[in-house]
Amino acid sequence: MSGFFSIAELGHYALVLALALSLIQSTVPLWGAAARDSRLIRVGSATSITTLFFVGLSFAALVYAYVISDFSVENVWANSHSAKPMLYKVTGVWGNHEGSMLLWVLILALFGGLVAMFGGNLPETLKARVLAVQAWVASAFLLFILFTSNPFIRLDPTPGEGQDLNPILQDIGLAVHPPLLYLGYVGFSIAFSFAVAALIEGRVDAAWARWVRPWTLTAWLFLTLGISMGSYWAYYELGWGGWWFWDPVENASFMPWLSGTALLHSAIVMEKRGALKIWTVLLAILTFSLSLLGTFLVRSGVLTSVHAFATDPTRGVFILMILVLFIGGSLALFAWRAPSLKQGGLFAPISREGALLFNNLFLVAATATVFVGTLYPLALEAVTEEKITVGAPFYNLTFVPLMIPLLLAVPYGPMLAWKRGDLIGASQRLGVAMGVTLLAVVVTLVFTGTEGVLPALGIGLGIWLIVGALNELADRSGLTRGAGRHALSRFMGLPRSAFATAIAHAGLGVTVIGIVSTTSYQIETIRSLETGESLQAGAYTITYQDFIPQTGPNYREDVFRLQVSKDGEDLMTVAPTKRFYDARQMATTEAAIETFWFSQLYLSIGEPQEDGGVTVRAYYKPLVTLIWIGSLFMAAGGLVSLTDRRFRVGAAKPAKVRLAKKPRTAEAGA
Amino acid sequence: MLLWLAIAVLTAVAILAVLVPLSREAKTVAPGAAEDAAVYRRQLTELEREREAGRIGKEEAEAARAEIARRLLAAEREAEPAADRKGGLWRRRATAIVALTGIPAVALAFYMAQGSPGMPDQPLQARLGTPSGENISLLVARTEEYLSRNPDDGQGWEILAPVYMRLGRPRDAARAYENAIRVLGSSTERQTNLGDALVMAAGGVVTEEARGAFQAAIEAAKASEEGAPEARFYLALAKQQEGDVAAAVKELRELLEGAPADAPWREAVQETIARLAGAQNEAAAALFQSPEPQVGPVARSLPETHPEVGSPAPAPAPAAGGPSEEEVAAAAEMAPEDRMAMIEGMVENLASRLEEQPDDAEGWLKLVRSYAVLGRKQDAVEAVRSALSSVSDQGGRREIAQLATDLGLPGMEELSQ
Repeated sequence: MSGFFSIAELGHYALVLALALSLIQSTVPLWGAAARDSRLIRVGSATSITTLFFVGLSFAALVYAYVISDFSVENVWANSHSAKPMLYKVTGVWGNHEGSMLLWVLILALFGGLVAMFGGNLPETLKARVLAVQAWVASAFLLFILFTSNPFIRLDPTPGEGQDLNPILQDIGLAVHPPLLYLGYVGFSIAFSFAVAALIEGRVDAAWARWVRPWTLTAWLFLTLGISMGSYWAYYELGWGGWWFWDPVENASFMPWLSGTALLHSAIVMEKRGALKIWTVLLAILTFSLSLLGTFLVRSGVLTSVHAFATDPTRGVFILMILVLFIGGSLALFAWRAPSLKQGGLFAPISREGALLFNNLFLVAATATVFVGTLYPLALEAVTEEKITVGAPFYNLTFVPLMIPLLLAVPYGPMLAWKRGDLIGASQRLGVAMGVTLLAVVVTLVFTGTEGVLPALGIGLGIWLIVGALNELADRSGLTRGAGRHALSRFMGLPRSAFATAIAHAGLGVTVIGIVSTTSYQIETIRSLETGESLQAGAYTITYQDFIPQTGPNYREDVFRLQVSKDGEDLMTVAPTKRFYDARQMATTEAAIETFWFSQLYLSIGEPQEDGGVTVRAYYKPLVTLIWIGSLFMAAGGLVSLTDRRFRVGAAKPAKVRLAKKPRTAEAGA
Repeated sequence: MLLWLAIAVLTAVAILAVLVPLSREAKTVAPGAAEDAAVYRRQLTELEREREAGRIGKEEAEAARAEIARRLLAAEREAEPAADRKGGLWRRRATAIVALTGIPAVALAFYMAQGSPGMPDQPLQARLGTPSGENISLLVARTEEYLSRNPDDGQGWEILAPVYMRLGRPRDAARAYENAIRVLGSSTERQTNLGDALVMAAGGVVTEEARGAFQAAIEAAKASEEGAPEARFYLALAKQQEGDVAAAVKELRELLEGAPADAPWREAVQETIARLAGAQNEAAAALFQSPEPQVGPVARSLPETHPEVGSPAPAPAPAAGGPSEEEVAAAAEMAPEDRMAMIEGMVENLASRLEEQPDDAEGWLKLVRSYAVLGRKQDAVEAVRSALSSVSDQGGRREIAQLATDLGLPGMEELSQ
């Protein structure tokens, strides 16, 4: 195939064509919508799908160049090596700046193409405008790639061998983390496009919320998995056992997640009750703006961190321009058009809507604290040259206190009726959850001693979320009201959205338990060991056996064998290693992680000692895996909610019925 | 040529993506509110289906129906009749013209600026084209993979190690030997090979690590008759690299004395002794060279200048004022006493020349260094003192003071102030 013509050149040309088509898509459908010309409007769908084809072709060409180790492509030469395992040749495509931007645009084109293909029942003008806004974003980033980060630049003469990929990134974690994260980031672009299109239209359609929510949900789902994956990757790859560092790059993905979670909930209000329209539009704009900000922070190189592998200032300025244009432009449009949007239904402060608004306010405030914590050090450094680090202490004082009332309130939300709720009734129905929570706190205190009151309360908070979620399901199936054998059939008949809510909220509780348990009850031992010596980490005894030097495909490694035993019984031999990558002259640490139920034993090797000993860092992390398992539950909740395709209408309980019977949740169509 | 054909096809696809929808039949575009009403009507039908399937309670269905009906009424009130706005031929024409000209123009402008249409793909496999070269690395890779699963196969490590050596990967070879020793135990041969690999990896320097290996080799050889001549040879070289050439020569002589008459390596050792003797002279001659390479206690930098194991230090290029190549060669052939006399003569010459022309930083540096090497500390201190008072160039004076400090001459602190 490559004998006939150059695949790399074809990929380059396809990328350029994608730009040309995106420019048309940015303008013609808008014109068509304004003139109500159906033929011009239809150009939007056709170009959108064709752009997806071209960007896909271009991406495939780059992957091909990596697979055949075509070092005449500068990007391949700079980031690959012929001896690299095939998996990392492929994942190396997006392990670098240029390739990851191409992946970004590919996902953008994918979402645009999906709207074009499956947006058949959208109002035509809305769809045209959504696709046009989507094309603005695509054009901006395609221009960015072609002007500053073209992955198809060729080298002549062709170098003999590549420079290899940053060894920290040669990991299965990298294979999945960025694509998931980008699916999340870029997925919010659809919510953004819908918001801007609604502002241009000057009205928020009935179909608007119905459309925005699944897209937001999809993006949120991937972002949840992406962040969780990234956290686990940092945990096992960086070798110091932390799972969250409040690192600016992590925050960059966490901010859109927080505001995206808020958007998800406000979109429910809008879909069911037609209320909070303007607020939802604003959140959609803010969420994608934060995604763009995240892209800017990571891709411009303003941060110096493991993730920031791009350092060219021209790129930074270009992305900053994109950022200013899109955020400034959309907010200006919002300021101009939002007052003309019609407000929706009214509701009492104590109601499902009120609870969701409560959620929104706290999540937005939390986003703001992370925003300040991330950007303040950068601003300070830019103005005064002073370098400061904002870390866990700041967030413990700001972010955590905001989370506590929010998490406490979570089980109440689904218990309250639309329009006007009954707080006391909801509390009564949550009685079981409250009892179980109290019991959990007492049991935890018994096991850990009275000194750990705060951690015990933290565990209680997690239990409250889990049991509260189950309580809601039980309540809705009538189990708490003596429905008896009807309860099962009622339970089976519950709408999927009810299960989705319960699964996601319980997942949140699982994560909270994991976080509290790991932070409060972790055992850490660092000692220098000689052969035969051992150290203690919790109930486990770790004995240093021996050391084996080995050679991998593109690295050398020192394997340290450690014997793990408990109560005098040998359990296993584990082998944490230190690797050295020749091509990049870099060393990495591969920790040995052993899972016992939900807890983990984490062993990593420090610097070698003068006397031939070795520094072993051993951590016993109780229930640490719950952090990520919980996030899987949250994502699963999102997935279940996505499969619930029904229209949702939220209606208050008719007052007469309320008087006649005991208070119950409104279930109308929910 | 085929690339251009592909480019043409892709461009056509892009243009058609715009032209095809333009050519389709036009239809009326409903205003937004009418669409809203349609959505609500669909919701009502769906609600009815839900109720019939029993998935929603009767009261809830009633409440929801009332809510949807309210929204439907509002939407219908708002919806004005759809305006029929057909035509717009000029819009289609304008769009088509932009597509037909703009797409190729933008695409080609960007592509021609950065693309390399004439350049074919360069897959590595095709460029290598030598399957045999591939095979050995494949074999090594396979063995590596096997050993990572069976790290306790000492035999495997022992086979892989010399292969690494031949491939010019001494560092990997050293690790393989370390593994072989770990599994199969220490032996003279393995330790010597390990040391050999380490020396090669360090570019010819007998490092601390390598010395450990050689010592272990000698230890292991104690029981056997052969001993560990190679290890002893390397340890002697280590002495030489530390600057103690005399000890190196002495150890090599001992090695030679204990060697059987028919030992195949006799000649090699003899040659080395001769070379080292020569190197001793060159070291002396180097006094007269520009500051590096230095001799005596300062000579630790010498090993790094060795490109290969066991070869003598390369003869430094003669500098002005130093002995010529012939002189050095002559010195090498002299008896030790005569050689000493010659060197001292040269030093005296330099000293008297400096008395006449004292403003010569280079010369003083050489003289101070020579005195230091010959062990004439007092003369060295005197020379530094004279130099500091007579050299006009400040940089030169600083250099002389620095050298004095480096050589650790007594009482220099006050002098260099």
